[in-house]
Amino acid sequence: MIHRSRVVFTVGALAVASAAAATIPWQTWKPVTACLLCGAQDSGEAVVVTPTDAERGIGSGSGNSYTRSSASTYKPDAVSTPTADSNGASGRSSSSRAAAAPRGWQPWGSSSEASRFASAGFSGPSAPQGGLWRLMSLHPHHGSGTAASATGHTVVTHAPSPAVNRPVKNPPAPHNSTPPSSNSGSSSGSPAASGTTGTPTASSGDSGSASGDTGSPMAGVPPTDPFHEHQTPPPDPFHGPGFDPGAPAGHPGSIGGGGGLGGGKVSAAPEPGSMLLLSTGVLGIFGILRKRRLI
Amino acid sequence: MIPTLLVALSLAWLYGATLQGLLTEWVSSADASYGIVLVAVAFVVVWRRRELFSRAYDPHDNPIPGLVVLLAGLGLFLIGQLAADVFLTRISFVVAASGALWFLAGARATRTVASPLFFLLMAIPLPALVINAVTLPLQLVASRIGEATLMATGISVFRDGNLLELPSTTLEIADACSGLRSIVSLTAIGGLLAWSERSWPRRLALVAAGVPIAIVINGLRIMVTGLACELWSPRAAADPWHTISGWLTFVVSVMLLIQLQRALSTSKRATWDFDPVRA
Repeated sequence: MIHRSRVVFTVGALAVASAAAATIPWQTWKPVTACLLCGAQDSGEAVVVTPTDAERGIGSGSGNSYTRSSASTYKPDAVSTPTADSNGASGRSSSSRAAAAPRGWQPWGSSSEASRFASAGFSGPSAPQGGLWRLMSLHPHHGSGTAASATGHTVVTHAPSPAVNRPVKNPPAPHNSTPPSSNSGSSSGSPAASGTTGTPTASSGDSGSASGDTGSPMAGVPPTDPFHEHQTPPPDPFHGPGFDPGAPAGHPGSIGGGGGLGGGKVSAAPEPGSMLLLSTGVLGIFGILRKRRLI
Repeated sequence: MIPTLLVALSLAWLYGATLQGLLTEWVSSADASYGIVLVAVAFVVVWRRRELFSRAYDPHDNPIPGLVVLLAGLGLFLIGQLAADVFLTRISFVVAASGALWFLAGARATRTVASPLFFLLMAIPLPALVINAVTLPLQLVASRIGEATLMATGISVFRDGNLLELPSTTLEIADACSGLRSIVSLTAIGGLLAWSERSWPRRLALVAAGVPIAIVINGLRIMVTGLACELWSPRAAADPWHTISGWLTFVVSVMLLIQLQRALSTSKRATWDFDPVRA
C-alpha cells in the first residue's frame, strides 16, 4: 500500500515547483520585431512622418517627408539574394533599381550556402545573427532630427538641399524596405514615393538617372560599408572568394569548375538520420536476443 | 492507483511545456530523432519488468534518499527555468521522476526501472553548446581519415579543411557528415548492451567504445563514398546511395560493438537476464 503522506508531500512539492516556475518572468526576446534604437515593438503598420521646417533644419525643400514602413520587419526566410538582374542594373534609374532589387544583403552569401546552413538544421540566421544583421542595416541618425518622431519609433533624416550641390547622404534604411505601394498615396512629392528607401528624389534633382550620379543613394558608398544598404552583396566573410559550393561545375566560383582539381561540383555526404541508425541497432540487438531465446 | 495517477498528473502539469518541446525536437530534428526509439525501448523494458517492479515495491523504505533526489530534480528544474536552459530543464524531469519513484516505491523498485530511466536520460538531445563545440573537430577528423584511407587505396585526393578534392568530384564533409549522429546512436546502443553486463567497468567500456568506433567508421564511410565516386559515378555521393552506405556502415559499427561485448565477456553467455534486484 502506498504511503498517503508521501504522495501528498510529492504532489505538494510538485505544486510548489509549478508555482515557483510560474512566477519566473519569461521574456520572449523578439529581435526581429523590436526596434533596436528605441525598443518599441513594430506594429505592422506604415508610419509616415512629415517633419516641420524647423525639424528639417536644413533646406526648405518642397515638403519632403520620409516614410518608413514598420511593416517591413526583418524576416530571415524572406531575405533574398541579390540577383544578377539587380546587380547589373547600372543603366537603370536608382529608384527602379531599388524597387527591383531585394533589400539588404545576405551575409551568408549565395542561396546555395544558405541551403548548406539549412541542411545542418539551420533555417536562417539565428536570433543573435538576426539582431546583428539588423544592426548592420540601420542607418546612423543625424543629429536632433531623429528625436522629432512622436512615436519614438520612426527615423527622420534631413533632406539635402537641392540648391547646395553637395553629395547626398545615404538615405535612411532603418528597417530595410519601404514598399512602394504603401508610400505612393501617403504624401505627394514624398521622396519615398519613388520607391527608394527614403531617397529625396523630389529635391535632389535627377537622382534617378543612372548609377554614378552624385544623387544616387549608393554613390560614394564603399561596398563593404556595413551601415549602408547594398545593391550588390559584399564578399562573403565566411568563405574564400573562389569557392561557392552551390555553383555549377564550370562556374568560376566552383572549385571543381575553375582552377580546382575536382572538375565537378561539391557533394556533401551526410549521415542518415539518428532514428534510422538507432532503430537499426535496436532491431539488431533484439534479433540477437530472440535468437538466443533470451527475450 | 489514484495516488499514482495524482503524482503522474502533477509531473505532467509541471513538465508539460518541457515535454512538448522535447517531442517537437525529436520529431523535427534528424540529429535528435533517436530519442523516440530510446523512449520506445524504455517503455518496452518497463512493461517487461512490471512484475519485477511489483515484487520489489517497498513503501516503507527509507524515504530520505528519494526525497533528496526529488528535491534536487525540482531545484534543477527551477534553475533551468531561471537560466532559460532547456537542457537542464529536460534533465530535471528524469531526476525528479526518479526521485519521486524512489520516494514512493523504495530503492529496490527504482532499481528495477533504472535502465529505462537511463534510456530516458540518453534520449534527451545534447545541448547546442556541446554540439557546436564538437561538430567541427569531428568534421576535420572524418576528413583526415577519409583522406588517408582514400590515398591508401591509390586515389589521389587533396584535402582542404573539410573538403576532399577528388579527380571526379569534391566531397564536402558538412556538419551533417561529422559523425555525431553515429556517435550518439552508437553510444545509446552501447548503453543498451551495457545493461546486460554485470561489472561497471565493462558497462562503461561498452558505452565509451561507441565513440571511437563511430568516428573511425564515419571516416571509412567517407572513404567508401569517395571510392564509389571515382570507380562508379559522382552520383554515389547523392541519394539514395549515400543513405544506404551510411546505413550499412552503421550496421558494421553495431556488429563491431557486439563483438567487443563478446570479447569483454568472461563467460560465453551474456547475462541478458540480469536482475537488478538480485544484483
